[in-house]
Amino acid sequence: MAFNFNWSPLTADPEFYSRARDLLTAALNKSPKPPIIVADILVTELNLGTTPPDLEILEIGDLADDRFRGIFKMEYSGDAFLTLQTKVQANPLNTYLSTAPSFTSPQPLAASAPLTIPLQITLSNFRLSGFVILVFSKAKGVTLVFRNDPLESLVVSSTFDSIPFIKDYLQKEIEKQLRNLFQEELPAIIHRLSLRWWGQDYDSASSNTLRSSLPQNPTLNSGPSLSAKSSFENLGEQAEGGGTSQQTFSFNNDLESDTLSSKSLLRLATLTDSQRTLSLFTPSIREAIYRAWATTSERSDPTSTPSSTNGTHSSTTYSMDGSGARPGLVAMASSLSISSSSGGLGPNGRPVTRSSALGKKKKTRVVNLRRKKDTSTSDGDTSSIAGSSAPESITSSMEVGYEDKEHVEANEARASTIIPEINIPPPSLAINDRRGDYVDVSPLRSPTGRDGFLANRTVHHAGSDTKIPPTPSTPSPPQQTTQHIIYPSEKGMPFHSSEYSRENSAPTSLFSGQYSPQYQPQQLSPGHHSSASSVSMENPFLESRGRTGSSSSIAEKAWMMKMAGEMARRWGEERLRREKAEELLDEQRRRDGSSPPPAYQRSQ
Amino acid sequence: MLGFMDYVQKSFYRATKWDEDNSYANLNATARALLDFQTPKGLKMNISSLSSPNFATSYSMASLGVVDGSVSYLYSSRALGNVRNSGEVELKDAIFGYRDLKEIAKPDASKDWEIWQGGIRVDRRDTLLYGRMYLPASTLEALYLRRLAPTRQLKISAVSNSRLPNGGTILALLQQDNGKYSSEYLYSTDVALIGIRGLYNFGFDPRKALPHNSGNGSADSRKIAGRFSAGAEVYYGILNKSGGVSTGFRYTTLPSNTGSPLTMTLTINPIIGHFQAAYAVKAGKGAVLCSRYDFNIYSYESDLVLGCEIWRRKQQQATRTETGTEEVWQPDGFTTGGEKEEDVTGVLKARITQNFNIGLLWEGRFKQLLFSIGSNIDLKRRDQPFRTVGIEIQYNS
Repeated sequence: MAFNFNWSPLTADPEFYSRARDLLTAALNKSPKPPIIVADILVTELNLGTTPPDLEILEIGDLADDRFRGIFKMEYSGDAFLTLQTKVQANPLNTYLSTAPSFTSPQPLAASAPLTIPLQITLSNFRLSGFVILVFSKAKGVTLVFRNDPLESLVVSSTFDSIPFIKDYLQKEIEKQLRNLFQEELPAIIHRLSLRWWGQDYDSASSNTLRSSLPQNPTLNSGPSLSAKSSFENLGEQAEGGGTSQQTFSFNNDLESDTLSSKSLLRLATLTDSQRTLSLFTPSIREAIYRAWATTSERSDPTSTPSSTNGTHSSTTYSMDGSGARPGLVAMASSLSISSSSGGLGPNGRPVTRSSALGKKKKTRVVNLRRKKDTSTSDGDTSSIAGSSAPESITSSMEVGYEDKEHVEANEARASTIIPEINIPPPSLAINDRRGDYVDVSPLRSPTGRDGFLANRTVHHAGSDTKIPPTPSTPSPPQQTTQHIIYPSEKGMPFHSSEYSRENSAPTSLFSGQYSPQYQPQQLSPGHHSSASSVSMENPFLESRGRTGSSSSIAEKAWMMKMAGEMARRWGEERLRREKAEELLDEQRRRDGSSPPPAYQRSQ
Repeated sequence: MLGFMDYVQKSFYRATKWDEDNSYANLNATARALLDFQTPKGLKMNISSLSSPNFATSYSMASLGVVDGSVSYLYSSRALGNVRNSGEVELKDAIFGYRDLKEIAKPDASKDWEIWQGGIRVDRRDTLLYGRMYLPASTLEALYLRRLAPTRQLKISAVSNSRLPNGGTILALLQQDNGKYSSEYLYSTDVALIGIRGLYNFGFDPRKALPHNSGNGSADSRKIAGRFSAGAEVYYGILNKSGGVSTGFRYTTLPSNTGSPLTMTLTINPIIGHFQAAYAVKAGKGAVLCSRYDFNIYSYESDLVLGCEIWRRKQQQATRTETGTEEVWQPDGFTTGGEKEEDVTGVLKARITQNFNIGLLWEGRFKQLLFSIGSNIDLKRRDQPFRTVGIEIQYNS
């Protein structure tokens, strides 16, 4: 692995210096200045010099196309310099009186007369040495933090060099200010700069969100490239109350925001909100059918809802259903299905998914589900499956959904038993639900493929959703606002789901197997959930799915086959990469012999 | 406008025969009153009362975005019979303005203050205690004033506020006034600041002159048309190892002067290189003009402030003052001493700096209320020339 640090291009950009000067000026004037400084501090000259800092890579915690996290040891002894200009009050009595209360002021007649003197300070011969933590993500910009005080020494030369007292004072004060600058201001500056460089779509995305906020807008699939950062961040903020999984959620933000359109996210958010707030308003999403609107035959067992993609939710959902006597959300029910399936199959869900033949599977599954619900399971199963079962559960849920079609009556009965209602989920669940919603609603799995919008994660559910007939025209929302689960419009691809699940199960289980051991020791189940989900998210092979477009089952089959190959390939790549990164991490950990610094723990 | 507590404090000085103006700190009091006056901001109300001759309370409330206020109490061991309420007080006493300096009085001999009763000395030194609490700001001001001797006064002021370093500061000031010269020694706990101020009045020495012409004192004083004073101050902060020095000169006409009363001051700060010259002249019965020029010989920074003060009187005199603010009256037949102050209804103060920053202040009395309305106008900012506008209302009983 090689890194290429370009020092000169930074300085070659003529605008760089002016911009950096502006930012520095703003930063220097932000904090309250000592009373001796009576004017703004202006950065008149800034030169980064020709000598780049020495960087020693100590650790790379995370590495991907769009992300990077590492720790460096930085040493700098270059020829950069900085010239500041300001005005100082030369009369110490004036300075003192300006801060003293007037009631006890000695009220000198003229001894406190002001004398402002322009002052020029040149800072040069910086000697820096410190540990730098660099986190880069395409969506969130660059975060650079100094773990220690990097300033070793610098030379301050000023207008008052001939007066040793003032010289010492200035040296001391400026060192103090610089330490503050390095540790508090500089990270903020760099972050802002990086947002400006990489985050151009930030603004456009937010404006787009505004424009397309009308629920009737059929733009759901049309904006694949929009980065949904803004709306997503909002969601993330909302979810902050959500407790355990909040960190992981934010962690995933980067990925999702890159691939999900902001409009869709906005709609999803509305959907979630309506579900949670008893609001009767349900935004309509094109080329999707709401479960609540489906015909009775479609009105399927809640188990079929693929809502919770992330198996990690299973534990939370379980707890929800623990109160199972009361009817739960469809989403909850669906997640229940997940958990039930995984639970029934044991912690290692792999065989189940593998063997999932359509007919048989459903039956057993259905039975399982009911039992679970009725017994108001708070089984430990969920926890046990936490790691490995996550992806598994997804596939299983898909199968269940598939089965629904055939056993309509049973489903109906079930559905009636489970009256969808709005449940106020516990905070932690809120996040999960939301997540589920993303997945559910994303119609992007439609092979019509106009959407690069496809979130990786969402693809997992595709199978289950495909069965529902298309209802592009949105009927008036029924009273069940809770039933937010949407099915994409393609119809009749039973194979799709099964195949998909079959194909998919291997990689997913592998994934889980691979990752669960790694994260399990560090994190509790919510944390674990994050890892699992992130893993699944990162699979790049899922993206391609949305692009292949065919409405016929044959085409779909062919597409699936193609996809399978693609997925396998991509997944292999991904795994290799991950393994590599892990090795690195492990090695580092071994070397350190201690727990990683907090900055490296994913979910802390 | 003078706050009620300041007014009471002045009354205390008067009652104990302490000459405030004979101090280096007040060398340029005239210029400060005419050019550095504070314009009120927002709405401020004061309700004060001298409930007994020894005890005064004052409540003030200000509303400038946020409402804040203060409660203050004052105790004086000397009964203050000379304090008038807001309906009767002479505006000259309630408003800072041109200082008509009087002739230096001979200080009392210490034996004059002695009171013997049955062979036991019963006289006590007059003391003034004052406290003020700013309510939301949680700032406490305290003042202890004691006339140690006919020529000596101790003033200890303190401020307590948690935001101040060390929680507050105390300033101790020992003042000595011998008429011919006065000196002050101060210590502030803030940066362990010590300071000495001194003022010397040239010419007439009341201690020597008065004994001779006790019979025809008025005739003697008429010879002295003015007084020249020189003073200096030195400060040194022990903790921050820095100090300050200044020296100043003042020439002012005395009431016996037949021409226009005028005051000239020059202060010099040799360390900083700062010169300040101020000139104030009473141009008639109701108008005072003042100018001040600042110059720094090191930085060449300069500043010029012009100001005027117009006293508005009742009846026929009032119409004349209204016609022109810059009108200069003939000094002929001008007498300061014989003026009646009762017919003054208000004072208009105005100043303008070289930055075209204008300050306007109208102080007066409306029925039983003293009020002051002021505004700060910045002509350089066309969009928003009125920087501050405010009104202050005072009711004393």
